[in-house]
Amino acid sequence: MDINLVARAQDGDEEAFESLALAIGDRLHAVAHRILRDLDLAEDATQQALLSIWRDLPGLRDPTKFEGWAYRVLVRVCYMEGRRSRAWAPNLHLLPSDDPVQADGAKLVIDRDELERGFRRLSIDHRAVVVLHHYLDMPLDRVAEVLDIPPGTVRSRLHYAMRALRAALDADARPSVREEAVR
Amino acid sequence: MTRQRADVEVMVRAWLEEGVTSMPDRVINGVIDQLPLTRQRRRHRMGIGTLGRLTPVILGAAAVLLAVAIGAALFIPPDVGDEAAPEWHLFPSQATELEAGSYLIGDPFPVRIGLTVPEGWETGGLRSTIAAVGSAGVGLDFTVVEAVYADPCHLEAGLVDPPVGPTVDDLASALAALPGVNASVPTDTVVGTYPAVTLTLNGPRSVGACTVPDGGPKFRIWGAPEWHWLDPNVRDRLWILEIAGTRLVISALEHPDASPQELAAINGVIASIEFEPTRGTIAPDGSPTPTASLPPLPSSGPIAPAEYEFAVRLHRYTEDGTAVPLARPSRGIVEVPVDWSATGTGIQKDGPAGPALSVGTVARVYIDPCRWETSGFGLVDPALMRSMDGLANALSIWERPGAFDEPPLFAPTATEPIDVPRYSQLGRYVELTIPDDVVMADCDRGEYRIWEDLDGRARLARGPGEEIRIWVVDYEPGLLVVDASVLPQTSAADRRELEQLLPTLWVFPLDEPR
Repeated sequence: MDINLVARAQDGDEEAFESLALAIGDRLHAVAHRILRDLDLAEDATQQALLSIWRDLPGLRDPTKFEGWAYRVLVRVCYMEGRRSRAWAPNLHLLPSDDPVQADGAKLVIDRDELERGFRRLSIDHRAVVVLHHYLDMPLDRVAEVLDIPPGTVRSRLHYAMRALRAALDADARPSVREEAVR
Repeated sequence: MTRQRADVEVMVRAWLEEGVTSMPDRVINGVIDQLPLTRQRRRHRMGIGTLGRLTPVILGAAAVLLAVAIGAALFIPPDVGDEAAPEWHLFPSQATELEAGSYLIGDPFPVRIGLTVPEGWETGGLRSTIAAVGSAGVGLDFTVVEAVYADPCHLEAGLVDPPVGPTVDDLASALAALPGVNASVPTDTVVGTYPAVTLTLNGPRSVGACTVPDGGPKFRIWGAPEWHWLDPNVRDRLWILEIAGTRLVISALEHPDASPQELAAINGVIASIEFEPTRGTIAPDGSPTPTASLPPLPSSGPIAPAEYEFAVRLHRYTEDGTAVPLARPSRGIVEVPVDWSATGTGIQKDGPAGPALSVGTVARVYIDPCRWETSGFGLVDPALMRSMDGLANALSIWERPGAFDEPPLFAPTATEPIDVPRYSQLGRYVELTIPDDVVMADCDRGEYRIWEDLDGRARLARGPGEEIRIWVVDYEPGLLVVDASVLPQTSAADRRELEQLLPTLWVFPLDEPR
């Protein structure tokens, strides 16, 4: 990240901020989409986060920490979007199909479906930790710094989230009641 | 089949790779359109802000002399005995102007600190490592310090090596020995009731020759977790003390252009500081006036819409941990809307998914609420639940760092407890969510038992996905627990009704008019 751009934007230079927003916008949007699981909400969150970043940028003491701080702003906005839109997350269900499909392909689709459902059950706090760590490859200490929470809380949230996702996948792997009855 | 942890990580990472990777043009265009209409927030001049940005105020020599005179004043512990108990406002987490009044610094900062600020002061925000207030010419930081620069003027020299030790004296000695800093000899003092060490640092006349490799401010004193630097001719009075395991540093920064009024003001604010304050009330969140007499809230059955009063019997703990009921119950009032019924511990809107509200105590918290009878997890240690913080922690134990290698399978999710005002007290707030895939009938005795009150009544989950908001309030000596809950199926109208009802619920401390 160009520190000079950050410093100029802190001083109110709109062109500098436009360049900054273009440089970081794709990553913010990708993270917002993965946390919120909804394109429209992700667009709203990205736009709101960029405006919040512009508004609060003069208060950023260390320009070298711009990127991490920007993610923190984004996660806060995602949290607000998530709370405002509790009804937005429809549960995805893989409808049974009579079409013949390759076994591996079907399994992959089922896994995606179960991951999606499991992930949507997580709180925004838990999702944020999963996305920052497993999508952006941030080390856990860095996730803690970005989210301004203790490292132990990050580990706890990641542990719980991954356990829940594993449980969602395992639930799919167990035979259903109907399958049991047919045997 | 149970999947291995590593397999799940690989699958999650692959799944996260799917999805959008670029921001649509309409998003950035919308931002650009809004920029001219969105005013940037400028920080005031204090440690947490941007010191060099504001236009200097030119002061006469007399003011500077006065500044030195006032600055020499000792830290005066507040004499809390004769003063009226303050009404605390929770300290804002974001940078903002403050109204004159008393503020309580708390979460996420590790020490609770009360202070009273005058008109015209602002906060630079509140984080787990720093809380800052000030005006243009003076600033007061409460912070923790972990690493000190070896040479404030030449930051490429890195941090003091070996690192500063953990004690108050270690830090005071390290700061007093910094090259290029005109520092006073650390001396013992008392801040509030806490032993402390104080010293004063005076910034250099110029930082023009200082070198800084990372583009940050020059003449930094410490660099972790927060930067702290001195501009030319700034005076920095420091107090270092240990409170509840946290080595706290208080920094009072006085810029050479600070006005006499500002210098007087910062001394007033310093004198108002209280650590872990136990007196005063939280600014009212709509406190009603206790009325002389209201009809008693029925204990069961439908309730006619009206305002009612009820009694809550709280308990105190003896030294051996025995819960003893207080001699008198606390009095509560609530305005019940149409179509609500009494549940014994509270009220609930009629219908299978009606919102519910209850008031009472918590004596036992089940760690595995679904397998509450057969699980080996057992109960949260009751000894940990005798304080407001301890009880709030117990009610969020499923998210406590390090509490479990593997939490119970159908444990609730919980938020971390935070400070909230409740009934003019400082309360703690937690949200629980019951897993939406738990089958209640499969739990022990068909019950998902979260806690029991001091009379043995169980708080059972009402269904999968139930969202429970919990307030814990310390009524000294009793701990009051209020919970408000909804189910996923609860209608939007019923949720709104609960929000309207909540402010009408009020529990009066025992010493209030009855």
